[in-house]
Amino acid sequence: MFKDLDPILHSQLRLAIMSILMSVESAEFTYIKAQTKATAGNLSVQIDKLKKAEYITVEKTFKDNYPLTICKKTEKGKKAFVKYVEDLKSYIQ
Amino acid sequence: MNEKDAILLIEEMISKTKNDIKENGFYYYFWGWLVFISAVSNFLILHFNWFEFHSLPWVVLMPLGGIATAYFSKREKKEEALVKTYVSESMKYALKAYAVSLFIVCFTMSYGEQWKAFYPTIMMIYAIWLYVSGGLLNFKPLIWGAYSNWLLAAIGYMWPNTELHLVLIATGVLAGFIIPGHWLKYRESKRV
Repeated sequence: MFKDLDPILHSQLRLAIMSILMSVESAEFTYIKAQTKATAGNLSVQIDKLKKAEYITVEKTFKDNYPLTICKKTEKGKKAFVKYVEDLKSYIQ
Repeated sequence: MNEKDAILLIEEMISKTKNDIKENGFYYYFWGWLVFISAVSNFLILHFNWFEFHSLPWVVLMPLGGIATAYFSKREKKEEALVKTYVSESMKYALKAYAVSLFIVCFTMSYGEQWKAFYPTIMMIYAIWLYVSGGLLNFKPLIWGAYSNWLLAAIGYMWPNTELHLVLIATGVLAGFIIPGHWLKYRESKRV
């Protein structure tokens, strides 16, 4: 039934991550974790999948000696998200 | 997850993040009070002719405000938001434009002939900042504060009188910074 929906986005956590990144410029790992209420392990795996699909970029830096992971959507990710929402709408209509 | 769940999830995540702008109004009322106290005391010194150096309150309070702001913002940077929204980024640009404009006016217009237009020009810059930040924060009292400052600036340009200008700027910061600042603080405390 969902064969036309993007399988990378059609997963609860990955869709939640992309939805957050669509409405902000960038977000840190801890922020996404708090918003999605996901576990750190699961979140890391899903972020990695989105990164491999080139839907997001992940920048790892340090702030006051603490590791900092900043996620940003890419143009490809933005287009995929818009298409996913349009596909969803066509299912509902 | 079916299609309706997906739509609901997207809506939930977007609504959670889009209003995630923390503004407790601190710098608005902090600077508002500093300018208000400086303007009122400057007015009193001048009006009652207490002593010649009537600008003393500004000379003391403005650098103190600058030092305090540098200290607070350094402390805030450590707890900086974990997310960059378009609004928070736009606010940074608007704030820099405001600060640079204010700095230039303070250092080029606070003496000589141009002194007559000093306070009205400051109020014009206040109005621009209040209007832009009010729009970005979607907070109407800042917009009303901007209109008040534009009106007061216009009055100031028409009647170049230092005592009047001091009353106008005190009114301007009360309407544009002190009241909206405390209002923002109240709004933020209710949000949690």
